[in-house]
Amino acid sequence: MSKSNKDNGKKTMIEAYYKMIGEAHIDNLIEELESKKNEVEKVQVPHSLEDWFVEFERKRALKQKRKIWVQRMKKISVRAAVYLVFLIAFLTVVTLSVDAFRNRVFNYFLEKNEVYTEIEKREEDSNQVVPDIEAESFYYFSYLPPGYRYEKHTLYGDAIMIKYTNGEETILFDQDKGEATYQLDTEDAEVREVPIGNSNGQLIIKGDRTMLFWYNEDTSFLIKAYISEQEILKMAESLEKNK
Amino acid sequence: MLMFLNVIEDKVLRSRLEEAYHLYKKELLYLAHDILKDYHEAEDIVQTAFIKFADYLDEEMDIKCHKTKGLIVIIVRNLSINIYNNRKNRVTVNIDELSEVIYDEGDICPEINILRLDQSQEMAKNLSQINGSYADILTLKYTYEYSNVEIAAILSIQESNVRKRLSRAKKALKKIIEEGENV
Repeated sequence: MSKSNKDNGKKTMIEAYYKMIGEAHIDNLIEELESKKNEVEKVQVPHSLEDWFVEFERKRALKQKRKIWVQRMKKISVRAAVYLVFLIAFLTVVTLSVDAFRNRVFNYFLEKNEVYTEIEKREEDSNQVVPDIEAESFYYFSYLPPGYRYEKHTLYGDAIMIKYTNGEETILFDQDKGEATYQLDTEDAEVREVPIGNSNGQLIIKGDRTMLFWYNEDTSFLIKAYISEQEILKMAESLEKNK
Repeated sequence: MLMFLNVIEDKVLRSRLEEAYHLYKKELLYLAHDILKDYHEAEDIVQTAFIKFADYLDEEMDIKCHKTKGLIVIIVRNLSINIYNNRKNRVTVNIDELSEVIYDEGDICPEINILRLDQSQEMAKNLSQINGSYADILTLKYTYEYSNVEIAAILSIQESNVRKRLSRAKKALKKIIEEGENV
């Protein structure tokens, strides 16, 4: 047996002896008290002590309840925190890591947007498209009434006639760099001078038909259409030159 | 379910404390009064003792067993002695500083103690007669297996005093055994 084992053994033995002495001491104490049983029986417990004990027990019960409540809340908080962590982790994984899911949603919007943009673009294109005209320079409208698009054009020397249509009605736009003479039917028509850019134009409204004539430094213009006064003026204001 | 069990456990502990109170209140009052000779102070001591006892009460404790009763008796005894000493305000030699039973040697040697096993009750009585607090502290440490910090709280003394008292209790016990041998 090693020295340390021997020492440990001695220590255990001594402690056991102390324990035995302690137990004997308890027996002695109780024996001594019991020997005075008759005197003990005569002791009157004061009411104040009884009342104190009842109050002490009540407070202790409240304290215990509070302790239990705190423990319970701690447990609930820990559980809630764990669930929250899992939820955050799950959402993070779904949002950041599941490419297929994310792309599918994203692409859906993109796709929808594409379609929408494309449709809008077509509309815009039909409004703003620069007609493919073989002339050196020409004018076109950057704005067309809704539904109208470029259909065709015709060249007559210095004059260009462009036709726009919405499938049912047409808008005819004449532009002439040379000297031009227009004979417009103004019988029973309302004729008015209207400002267009820096110059003035003649607006002729006859029944459903609207015509607008004006000119600038090098070209004279005539629009004939079945559209409102506002629309025809808006078209005229949007006039642009290809170069 | 957990809440329900906690409530039951709490009720069990409360009923144990109530049981202890009703079983021992007279004896404890008697004991405290026997030392202090004052009913009011005896009442205060019993109250303080139950407050301390409640902290150490657990569901495994058998209220009627000697060990449980011994614990509360030791608490009352020590609290009463503390009050008695303070009340007297006398210039006394601190019981912990008594040198007559202090020896340089450490624990008793097992050879001696084996010879005295059958006389442990007598040894304990002798130890208690030299100084009641020595027997109490040895009991709290080795029979109840409380730590020095717990003993300090139970007896309302400093932890350093617990260590001193324990050391002196062991030396006093050694002296008793040796004297017994020489008889």
